[in-house]
Amino acid sequence: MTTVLGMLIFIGVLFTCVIPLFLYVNQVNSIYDRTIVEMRQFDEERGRELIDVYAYPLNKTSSELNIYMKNKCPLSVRIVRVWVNEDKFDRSFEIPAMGDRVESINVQDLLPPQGEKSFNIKVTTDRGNTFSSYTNPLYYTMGSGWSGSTGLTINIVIETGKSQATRFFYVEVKDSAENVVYKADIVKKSHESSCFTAAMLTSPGTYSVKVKEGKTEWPTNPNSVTVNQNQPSQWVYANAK
Amino acid sequence: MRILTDKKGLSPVVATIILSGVVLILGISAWSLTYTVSINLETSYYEGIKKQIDKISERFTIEHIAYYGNNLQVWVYNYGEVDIELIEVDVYKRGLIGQNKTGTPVAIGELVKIDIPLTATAGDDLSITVMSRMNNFVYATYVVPYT
Repeated sequence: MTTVLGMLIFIGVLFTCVIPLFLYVNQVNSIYDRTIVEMRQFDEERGRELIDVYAYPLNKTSSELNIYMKNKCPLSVRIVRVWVNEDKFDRSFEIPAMGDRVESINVQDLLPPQGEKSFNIKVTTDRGNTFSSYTNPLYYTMGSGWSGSTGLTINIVIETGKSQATRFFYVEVKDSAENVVYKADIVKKSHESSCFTAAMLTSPGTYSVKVKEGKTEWPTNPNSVTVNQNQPSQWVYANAK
Repeated sequence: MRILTDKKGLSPVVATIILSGVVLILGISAWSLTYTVSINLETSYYEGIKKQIDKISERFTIEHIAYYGNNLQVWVYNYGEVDIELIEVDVYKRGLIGQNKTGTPVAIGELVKIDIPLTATAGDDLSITVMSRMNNFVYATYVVPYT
C-alpha cells in the first residue's frame, strides 16, 4: 500500500514539477536561440545597406538642397534623418530596393550672412547606418552662391519642373578632343522636380555637357566648363521644363 | 460482540494506516518542496536568459560628433529592439580627457545628445567610447576640425 502511494507521489512530482521544468527551460532556450538568429540576420541586413547620396543645390543661389538617394542594396531602406553639418532634419520615408528618391532640405537659416561656409551632408537609416554625400563638402559664398567639392567632377542637375511624368534623359560629357568621357541614362521619376548625375573626371580640362531627351537636346548652363585644381567641381544646369 | 473483542490482525492494519499516513505526509511535503523549487528555478533561469537576450538585442551607434566651445557633443542612436541606458561616455587623447557618467536612457529609435566638457584643439584625434548598462560598447574616432 505504502509502496503504491510512494510511487503515485513520485509520478505526480515527475509530471507536475520535473517534466514542466525541462519543457520550460527548453522553451526559454529556444527563445534565446531565436533571438541570436534574428539579431544575426539584423546585423547582416545592416551590413548589406548601401546608398549613394548626392546633395546638390537646386540652382547656383538656391536656399534649398536636393538630396538624391539611390538605394543600391536588395533591401528596402528607411531614412530617419538628414544631417546638414550639425543640424538634423528628421524624416521618415522608405526607399525600395534599387529605388531612388530626391528629398529637399531648406537651408536658408544655415547660409552664412557673409563670407564662405562649407556644408557636409549625410543621411541616417533606421538600421543605424550613415551615408555621406559624394558631393561633400559643398561651399556657399555670400554673393556668388554654391560651389562644389574637391574631387574633379561635373555635377549635372536637370530641372524638369513639377511635371508628374516619368522622363528619360541621356547625359554625355565630352572633353576638348570630342572624346566621350562620361555618359549616363538618367530617369526622372514622377514625384521628382529635378534629377541629378555626377560625372567623375580623371584629368583637368574643358568639357562640354549635352543633355538629351529622345531627339530633343535641352540647353545647359553653362554648356562647357573648365575643371582644374582651382575649380575641381563644377555645376551644370539643364533646363528641361 | 465477538468481533469487538477479537483483536487478532488489528495491528497490521493500524501499522499500514500509520505508514500510509507518514508516506502521504512526507510525499506531499516533498512534492510541495519540489514544486516550489522548480517554480523558483524557472523564474531565475528565465530572468538570467532575459538579461542575456536584452544584452544581445542592444544595438546603438554613435551617429554624430561635434565640438563646440569646450564641449564635445556625442549623438547616440538606439536602432535596436530594446530600450537602453548609457552609463558612461569616455573620451581619450593619449589618456582619458573627458567623461560623462550620468546615466542616459535611450528609448527604441531615439537619438540623444550627450555633452562631455573637455578642452581640445583643432587637429586633435579623439577616441570616444560609449558603454551601456548591459556592458555593450561602441567606439568612434573624431578629429577636431579647424573651422
